[in-house]
Amino acid sequence: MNHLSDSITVVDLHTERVIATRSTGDEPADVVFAGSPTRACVSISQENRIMIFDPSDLSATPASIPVRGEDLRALATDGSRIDGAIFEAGNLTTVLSEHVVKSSVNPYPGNQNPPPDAGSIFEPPLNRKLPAAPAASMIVRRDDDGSWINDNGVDWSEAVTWDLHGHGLVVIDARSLSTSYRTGLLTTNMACAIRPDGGGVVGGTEAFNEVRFEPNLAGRFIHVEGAMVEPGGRGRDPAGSQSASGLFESHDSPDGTPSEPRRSSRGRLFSRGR
Amino acid sequence: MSTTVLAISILLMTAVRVASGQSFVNFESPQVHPIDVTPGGSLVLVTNTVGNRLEILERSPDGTIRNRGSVPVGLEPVSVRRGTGLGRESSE
Repeated sequence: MNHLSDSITVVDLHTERVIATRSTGDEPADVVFAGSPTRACVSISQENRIMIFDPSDLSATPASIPVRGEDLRALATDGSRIDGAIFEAGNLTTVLSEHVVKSSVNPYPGNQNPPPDAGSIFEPPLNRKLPAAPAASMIVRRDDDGSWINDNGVDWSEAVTWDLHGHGLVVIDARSLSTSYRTGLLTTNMACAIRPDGGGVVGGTEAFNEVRFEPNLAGRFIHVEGAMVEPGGRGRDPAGSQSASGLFESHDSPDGTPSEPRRSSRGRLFSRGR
Repeated sequence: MSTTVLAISILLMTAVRVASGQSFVNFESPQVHPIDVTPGGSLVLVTNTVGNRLEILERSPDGTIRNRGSVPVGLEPVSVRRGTGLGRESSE
């Protein structure tokens, strides 16, 4: 996969010579061989689609499958199914402007703005010598039930009149080429694999942009994580049977010392299983 | 003191070399599946992303690896997979 020249090169390993070159869409990222007869499935990262080539006749017009997700890169297959990791999946967070936060949809008592981040107080505490803080915007994250929650566990769903699909993994049937999606995995999905039981594994990073104030982040803006996808998960519908849970998480500080356990109010953000 | 001077001089040399464009390596394209091993385990295929080449390494039964070949491909290869039936059979 030649990322910059937008092409596939086929190399004969016996003669160590290039035997074919085929143009693809913009920035091909990965290829897997699946189906019967075998087809070469190529992720086209900048066009959010998969091109399907006949490896025995690369001059034939390839099929194209659109993918609803930004920057499809890594692929995996068990021969009958193709999984594709959507790199820029996002973490199901969205931002509410300061105008919304100071309006009557603000669920805090008195539509308080900025809204406290630890119960009814701020942590770290505000400096009383400073003038009143300006109105602030607010980042909220969609939970497993579809509610939009801020870093204080407060439900802002009334203020969010839109939705995010949150597709993290596309699953393609190699025979019918039908697509389905798994949601709520990682912020960036970098690699994927298919488990022997039919489930999936995704590796990547998870970001915590909804957590306010640097002492609460303690310099750990993202974690390297894995997510497990249970067999038969439907995805898309957050109330569906899809289930993903943290497989491994890197919590260590840059100096190597283990970090403190997450505060329980934020542990909720990591419970992707159901 | 001498360690500090040495470190600074190395930094300066690096800065000069980068500025002159002599050794700057622009590793821009993200690798996705840059290493593959053929089913028998005897060949290791590696994308040389900045060199625009496919590196073919041979693995001996005792585990040692040596270069076998290097094939120029397109610009910045990021993934390699061993396939079958690609125009001609490309077996080990």
